[in-house]
Amino acid sequence: MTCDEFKERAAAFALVALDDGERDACARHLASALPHLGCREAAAEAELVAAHLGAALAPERPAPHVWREIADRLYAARGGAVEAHEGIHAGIDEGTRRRSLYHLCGWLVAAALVGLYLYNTPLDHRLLQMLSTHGGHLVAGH
Amino acid sequence: MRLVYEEHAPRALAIARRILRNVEEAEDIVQETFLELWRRAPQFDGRRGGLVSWVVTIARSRAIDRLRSSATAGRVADEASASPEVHPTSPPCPMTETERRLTESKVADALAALPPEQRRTIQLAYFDGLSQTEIAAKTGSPLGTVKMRVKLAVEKLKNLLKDDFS
Repeated sequence: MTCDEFKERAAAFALVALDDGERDACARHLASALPHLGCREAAAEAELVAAHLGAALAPERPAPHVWREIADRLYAARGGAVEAHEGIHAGIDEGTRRRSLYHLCGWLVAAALVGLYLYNTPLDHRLLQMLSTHGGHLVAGH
Repeated sequence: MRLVYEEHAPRALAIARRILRNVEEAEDIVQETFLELWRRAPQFDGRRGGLVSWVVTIARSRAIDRLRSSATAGRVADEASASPEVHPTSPPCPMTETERRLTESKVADALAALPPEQRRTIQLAYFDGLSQTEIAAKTGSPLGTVKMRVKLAVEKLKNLLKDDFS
């Protein structure tokens, strides 16, 4: 398969609309180490369109057992090292990162408020004591 | 991994269920998708559309493979409707939901902007998992015409959705 032939099929390849033989041929061409003339770019662009089309469907939350089974299989495969796998975390997209940042900011603000409260409480207490003491002197002076 | 699952599994399930028309099989696909994602994590290339694109691509390819191997494409195609089904899910956070609805609306508008025969071809290929040959048989159009419609439709969608890609 030539690069032009691949690019002609890139859209159907991304939609998984090619018959098995053509699909395999396209996959082999794309994976080959030959110098390509825009094949990977054409495939990436078409895949992006295909991925966006999925947004036309409302998301559906899987039943809880689905994650449990995934976790069990990952645990079995990796001997419990599931959370230590860094590669997938590097793949968390911008939205997830942004939300994590919001959560972090929320925690920082909460921590600052608690710190401020703890710092101010004894001071207020001392001020009240001073006021009551001086107030008492003033009242006694009169 | 749990974080990635929580974020993207609902999309994977939606597309798998749309293609397979069966919740249990679609949930199997979600499992396979995330196990594959785990295995292939080092190959992830963020420049190619983000993690959600990767998840949807894997889930869809696996669902189509299962559909074709079970030889139920004809049955599913007969049941196929003109527009995608919508299934409710538990309420997400308002910001995510607003973002999702915006994208959903843009995609719906882009699909609506296609000529009817191109739109139908994309719906049969993308949402029902039919191959170009199956689409030609189903619609009675020549295979070459179907191929051209797929190519033109994807090209047009790329232009209509390009703002979303950046």
